[in-house]
Amino acid sequence: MEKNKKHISKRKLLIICGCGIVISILMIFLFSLGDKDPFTVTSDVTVKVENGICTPASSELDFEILSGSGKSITSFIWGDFEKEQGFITTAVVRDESGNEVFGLSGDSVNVEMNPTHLEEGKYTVELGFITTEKDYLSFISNRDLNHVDKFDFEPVDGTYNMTYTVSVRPDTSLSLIFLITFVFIFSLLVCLIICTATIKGDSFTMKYDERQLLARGSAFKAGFFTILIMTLFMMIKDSVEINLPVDNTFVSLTIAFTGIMVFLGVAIWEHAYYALNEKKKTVIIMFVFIGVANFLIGISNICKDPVIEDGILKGYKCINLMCGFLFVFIGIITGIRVLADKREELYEEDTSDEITTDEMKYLNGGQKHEES
Amino acid sequence: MKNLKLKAFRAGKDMSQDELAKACGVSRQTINAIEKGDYNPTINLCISICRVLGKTLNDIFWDIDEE
Repeated sequence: MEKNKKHISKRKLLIICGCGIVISILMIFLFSLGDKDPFTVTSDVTVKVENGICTPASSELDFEILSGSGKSITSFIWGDFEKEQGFITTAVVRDESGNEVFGLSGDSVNVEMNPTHLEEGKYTVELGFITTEKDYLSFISNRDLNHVDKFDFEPVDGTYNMTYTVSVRPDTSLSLIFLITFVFIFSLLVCLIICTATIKGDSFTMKYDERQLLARGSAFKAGFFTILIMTLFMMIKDSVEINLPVDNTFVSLTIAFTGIMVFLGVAIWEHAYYALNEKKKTVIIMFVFIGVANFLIGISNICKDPVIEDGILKGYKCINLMCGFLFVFIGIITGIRVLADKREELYEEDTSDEITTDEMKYLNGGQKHEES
Repeated sequence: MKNLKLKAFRAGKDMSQDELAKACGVSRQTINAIEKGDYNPTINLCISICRVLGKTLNDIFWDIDEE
């Protein structure tokens, strides 16, 4: 019975993937356009406290969130001297029309306070210096603030040099999610195109024969047990407290990469890595290209930023180098295997097409058997 | 144990390992491994090889010596 399945052709798939890639690039471009650099606005104010009265009683600070920035997270930072100086700073943010957007007070010490979302536009921050409980309670009650339980300080006379900072950074949380999603889709489609392009004929799947499948299973088992043994060694190392000058990321990556390399090595050696319908040369060229590119990226990263920090080798800085080594390793093993095969083929060419006496005996035996 | 009969029938048909492999839908190394006796094929592959070479299972895969 014939199956009534409609198969999508390879050409159609490539066109769909191509369109997907173009859309992804456009979306990545659009989402990255919205990213504006964060900035800070700082104001230095000298406040004099005399007999419980602050001079000046207030100060102003202006900042602008440029158009195209989208929503921005605004936060206020002020010093850790608040409790000792004997006055509390209040901040009221007003928009261009003078309407109050929000207000807060500085009852916390040395913290980034109340991150608040602001739309694009010009803003003014009114900084007020309060020394009495009445003024303070009036300020927080008008703004529904309840983050101070008790007004428990006395104004201390003196002159204080204050630094107030408004930190504005674009709220990239949502656009970042979209950006990562489209980068992921883009990578996926590129991989799909590469995979499809490296497969011969109109098929989308890699085809392995029965021997290759068995060999791949053995290779996978070898890789799995390598990971298992290495993990066991790392557990023993930890239990006897041997400190290697590498971080945990490096250890995890080394274990994973070694397992993969064992799988690749065994599979390639057993002629089970490349599928029957795979364009072997294209794949090898691609792998060597990816390997060299990763090597170059890894080396340039090392030149910019050393991989060893405080005598510890940082794993995440070695990912590109490890990837590069892995892909080049595939190329090397394949090259060695090809050379070994050529030698074997040369030997076989001398003998394979010649029918030896033994073979003739078998052949005749087979024919006799056929006749009987 | 080497499968010399397969090698002989293949040579008799003037086929290379690669040609036989392609006709059977397997890799050249698989045919090579069968001839060398490094791999025991499944019955499906045996039938496929026999069809390509125009022989029976007995002709290629039955061991006369054991009989």
